[in-house]
Amino acid sequence: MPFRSSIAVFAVCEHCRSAVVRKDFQLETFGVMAELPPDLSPLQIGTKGYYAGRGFTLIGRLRLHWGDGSWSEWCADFGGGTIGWIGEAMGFYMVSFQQTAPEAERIDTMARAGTRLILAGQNWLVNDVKEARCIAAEGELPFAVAPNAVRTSIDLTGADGGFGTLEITGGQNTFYAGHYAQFEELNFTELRKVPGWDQQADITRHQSRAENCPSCGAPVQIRAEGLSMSAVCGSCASILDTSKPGLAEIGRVMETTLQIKPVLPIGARGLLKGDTWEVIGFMRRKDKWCAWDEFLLFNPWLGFRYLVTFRGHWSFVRLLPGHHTADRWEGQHFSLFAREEATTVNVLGEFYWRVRSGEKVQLTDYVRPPFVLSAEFSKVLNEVAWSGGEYIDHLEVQRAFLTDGTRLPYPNGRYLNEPNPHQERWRAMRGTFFLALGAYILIQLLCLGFATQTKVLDTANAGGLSYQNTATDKTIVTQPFTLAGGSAPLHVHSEAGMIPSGGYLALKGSLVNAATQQTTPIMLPMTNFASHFEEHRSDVTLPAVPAGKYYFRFEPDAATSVTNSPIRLTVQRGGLFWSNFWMGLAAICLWPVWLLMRSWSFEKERWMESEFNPYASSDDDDE
Amino acid sequence: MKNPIYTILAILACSYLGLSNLRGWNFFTSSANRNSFSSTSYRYRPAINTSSGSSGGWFSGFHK
Repeated sequence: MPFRSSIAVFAVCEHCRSAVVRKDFQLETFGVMAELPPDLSPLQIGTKGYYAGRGFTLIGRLRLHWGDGSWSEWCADFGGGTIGWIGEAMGFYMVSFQQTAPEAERIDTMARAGTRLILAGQNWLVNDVKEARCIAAEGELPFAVAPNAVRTSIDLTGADGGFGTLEITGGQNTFYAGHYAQFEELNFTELRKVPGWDQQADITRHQSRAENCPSCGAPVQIRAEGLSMSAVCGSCASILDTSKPGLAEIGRVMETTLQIKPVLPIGARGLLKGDTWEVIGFMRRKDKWCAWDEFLLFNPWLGFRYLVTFRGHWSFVRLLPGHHTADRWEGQHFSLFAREEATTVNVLGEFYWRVRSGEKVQLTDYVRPPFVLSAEFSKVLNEVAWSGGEYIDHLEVQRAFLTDGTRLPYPNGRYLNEPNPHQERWRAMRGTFFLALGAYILIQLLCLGFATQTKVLDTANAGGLSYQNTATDKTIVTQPFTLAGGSAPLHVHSEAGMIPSGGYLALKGSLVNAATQQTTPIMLPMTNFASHFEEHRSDVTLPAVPAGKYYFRFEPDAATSVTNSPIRLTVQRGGLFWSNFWMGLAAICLWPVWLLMRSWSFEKERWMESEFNPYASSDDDDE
Repeated sequence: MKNPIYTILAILACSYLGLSNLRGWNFFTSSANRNSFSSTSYRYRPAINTSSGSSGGWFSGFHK
């Protein structure tokens, strides 16, 4: 048996499954290792990769099984005597290296999820504690592994989101630390061709394996072979253990579950967000307010995702291993929206954990539309699972998975992470708005600096004017005055004196251009019986009067009691109309204000669904 | 350009403001003057003297 790696001391014969240990130049048999259960992992012995500046080759694998799931640990030879481990579970990859941590010796298997540990000088959060059994191995490993060896595995998350695991085997504690990695970050080459998914694969079976239900004999299709842990028989509602050959029955779901017709058929494949996904499972969950559906999607290279739907709204959700900040994700702050106990009421299809009808978790949702961040704490599993989702248009889901023309229900009402279209429109235009507003105010300020008023006529200094009741020609004509420059407003102020109580006086006439005899009508009502009946004055502004020589000609309209009334006319030129400013300002602000009001209304409606509604008044709280 | 219609509206508003200030235009044309003729709240005659109930109105002739 050749040892390809110089650091390996243990190997499993690929032909007879015998495990051998290398001692100097001797090989000792170490029992027979069980055959690896078939799976759809794209990794294989000999796969090469490149991570954090170092190349590696996968030389061996351990397959570990725990009560509610299983995972693979790939032994990676990084060269130069460095061994790393690449954990593969649920489509996630955890790259870790053994670390020296004296504190690890004091930790026992009683650690609880959610507690904190100090290891190798770092603060770690316990994610889950599980007892795992080595069910199979292949290739070469740096230590001997007995078939069915049991160990306690404590998974940890570092303060920076790093990955850690403490393995307790027979009183010996070994600490590994590293990071979570996405498939593409590991730059794999020489991957295995995945049957049913890779067109170049030697397909020995179709995309799914069919076995018979031990309870009713009906065929049960296994779509995520080697990665799923349970499946529901579509004929008898038995929950079957898919992690082992034989599909042992491990529970049942309600018979009524089989009557449910999920809007996405199990087994449908489609292109969503640029990747091919297959619908393999369906769950209906509820809290004390409502029920919603969750579809489990599978891709051999990317693992699992969820499509969560409620009232026609959809979210595309992925698990977030290593997430460690309660209300922050990818540098963004999220707002607490809901905290409820959620119960799984119906399950169909296949899952990567041992699904149970009636399973309860404490569910906490944080939102920052279109994203949602969720934490699920399971007392039974002693585990906190974080997931992050993004709102997805129902038509996108429909195009991906419903190719037979079936239509998904149209979204109804507001959803916790539904994008606010008004807010998006406001964000798209606010730059233009503030720029326009700044420019607009600047223009007005500049004009204010130039718009000074100058007096062009004061009849008190030009002979004076008066109304004489006894005169035959009562027409009043002012001295001519000159307006220079461009066109500008003309402000006419008039005052009349000696008007007896109950009397009135108004000057009706025109501003006359002395050169062209063009007239502009004007009226100076110097008595106001509606309000200021004690005052006898009037202010009138004529807009845009061009330059030229002008005079006023008035025909007085007065009460017979007014016999002789001195009149003073003051004319000023220049200034500006604020009505123009306010009208333009309204034009600039109308659409943004409308959008902001709609946006506020949208958010208020969204948060009405939440117990943590920031829009709720204290009166609502009292109720 | 993300919001062409709004941008055009904003440019028009800014242009109008600048021009109207320079030229002495008023959006409401000669309303300041016109209102003084027609405003019902601005009566220069006592109601008893207004046979038609109007304060005169714009070019409605002289009330003598």
